[in-house]
Amino acid sequence: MTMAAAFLGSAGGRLLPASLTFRFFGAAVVCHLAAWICLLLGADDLAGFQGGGGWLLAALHLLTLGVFVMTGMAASLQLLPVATLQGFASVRPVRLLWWLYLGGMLLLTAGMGAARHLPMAAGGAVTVAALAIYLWLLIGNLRGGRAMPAVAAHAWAAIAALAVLALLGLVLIVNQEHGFLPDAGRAAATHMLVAGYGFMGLFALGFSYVLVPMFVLAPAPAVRPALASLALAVLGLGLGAGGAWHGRDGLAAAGGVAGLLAAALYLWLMRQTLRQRMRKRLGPEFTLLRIAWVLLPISLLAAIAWALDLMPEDGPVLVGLLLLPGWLLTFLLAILQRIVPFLASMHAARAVKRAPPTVSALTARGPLAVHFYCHLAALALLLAGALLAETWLIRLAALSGIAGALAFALFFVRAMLKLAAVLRPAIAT
Amino acid sequence: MIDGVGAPHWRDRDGWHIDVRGLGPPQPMLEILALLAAVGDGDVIVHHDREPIFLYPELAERGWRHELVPGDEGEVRLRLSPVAS
Repeated sequence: MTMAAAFLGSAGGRLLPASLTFRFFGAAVVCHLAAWICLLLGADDLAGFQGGGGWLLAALHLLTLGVFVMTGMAASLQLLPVATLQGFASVRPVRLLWWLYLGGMLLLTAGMGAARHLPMAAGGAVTVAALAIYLWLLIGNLRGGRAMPAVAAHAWAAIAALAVLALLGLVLIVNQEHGFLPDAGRAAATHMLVAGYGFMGLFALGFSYVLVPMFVLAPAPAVRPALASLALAVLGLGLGAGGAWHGRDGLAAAGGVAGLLAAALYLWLMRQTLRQRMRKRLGPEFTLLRIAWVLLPISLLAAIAWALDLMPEDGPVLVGLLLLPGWLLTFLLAILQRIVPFLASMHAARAVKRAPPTVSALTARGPLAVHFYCHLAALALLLAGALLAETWLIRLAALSGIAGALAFALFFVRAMLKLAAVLRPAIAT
Repeated sequence: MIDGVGAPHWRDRDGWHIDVRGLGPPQPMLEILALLAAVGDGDVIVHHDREPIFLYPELAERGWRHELVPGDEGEVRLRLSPVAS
C-alpha cells in the first residue's frame, strides 16, 4: 500500500484547470449578450431571412458558434474525460483551441455584421482550423477511453455532423462572393439543420445522459433505448438534410418524423430518469429544462410542416427560432445555471478540503429569476414578431433578451468572484 | 446491511466502508450518498477506482468533507467525515 498507489486514478489528469474551463463558459455568456444586441441591430431583416451578410447573420452565429459551441467545448472537454476515464495528454492543444477559436469566431461574426467578405472568409477559415483541433481532441479521447457507450456514440455522431457543417459553412461563405451554388437558400437550410439537430442537438442529447442523472441523482438511462434514439436521430438528420439540400419535400418530412421518434425516446428516457431521482427538490433550472424539452418536439413538428408547405411564408424563420433560441438556447442556459456552480464547487472542494462553497452558495437566485422571465418573454415576442412580421416586436424581444443576458452574466460573474476568493489563497499557500 | 445501498459495504473500527469499484457513473455517487444519508454521522471510507470529483459538490452541500488516504494498489481511497467533527 503506497501513497502513489493511493492517488492512482486521481482526477488531476482528467480535469482541466478551472481558469481554462470557465473562460469558455464566460465567452459563451458574453456571446449570449452580444447575440441579442446584434438581433436588435438587425431586427429589420428577420422577416424573410435567408442568410446573407448583416447583423442578423452575426446574431445567429454568435448564438451557434459563440454560445452553443463554446458551451459544448467547455462541457465536453471537462466531462468527456470523466465519462471515458481518460484525460487529455496535455492542456496545450486546449489553450491553442481557445485562442484560435475565439479569434476566428470574433473575426467571422464581425465580418458578418459588417457584411465584409474578407474578414468573414478569414474568420471562417480560422474557425474551421480551430474546430479541427477540437475534433482531434475529441476523437483522441473517445478512441482511447472506456466511455459510457450511449454518450460516446452521440459524441461520434456529433463529430461527423460538425465536420459536415463546418464544410458547408465554408462553402456558403465562398458562395457569397462567387455565387456558384444553384440554390444558396437550400444550402443554408441544410447548414442550419446539420448545425441545430446534428452537432448541437446530438451533443445536447448525449450529454443529457450524463448530466441529468448527475444533477438529479438518478441511475444512468438504459443504453439500448438511448442508442435507438440516436439511430433514429441520425436517420432523421440524413433524410432531413438530404431532402433540404435536394429540395425533396417528402424526404425532408420523413426525416422530421424520424427525428420526432428519436426525440420521443429521448424524452421518455429523461422522464424515467426524473422519476428515479434521489434529489426530491429540483431548482428553477429544471423548469427551464422542461420548457426546452417541450420546444424540441414542437420545433420538429414545425420543421415537418415547413417541409410539407404547411407553414406561412416565414416558415423557415419560425423553425429556426423554435430550434435555436427555443430548444437549444433554453436547454443550454438551463444546463449552464447548474453546471457553472457545480463545477466551481468541485474545483473549490479540490483546493480547500474544509467547507468549500456549496452549489447553492454559488448560485445567485435573484439574477437567474430575472433571466428566466426575460428569456421566456424574448422567445414569445420573437415568435410573435416573426409570425406577424412586426419589427417592433422583434426589437422588444431583443431588449428583453439583452436584459435577461445581463442578469445571466451577473450570475456568472458572482459565481466566478466567489470561486476566485476561494482559489486565490489556496494557490498562494 | 443498509437498505437502499447496493454496493458492498461493511462496518469496521474506523467507520463504515463502501466499495464502489467497477461501477459506472453516476452509480458510485448514488451509492455513497445513500450510505451517507443512512449513517448520518461518523467516518465513511470509500474504496474507488478513480477520484470521484463530481461527488465533492454533493458532499459540500451535505456538510461532509473528503480526504484522500493511502489505499491498495490501483485503488483510490477516501475518508469522508462530517464537517463539524
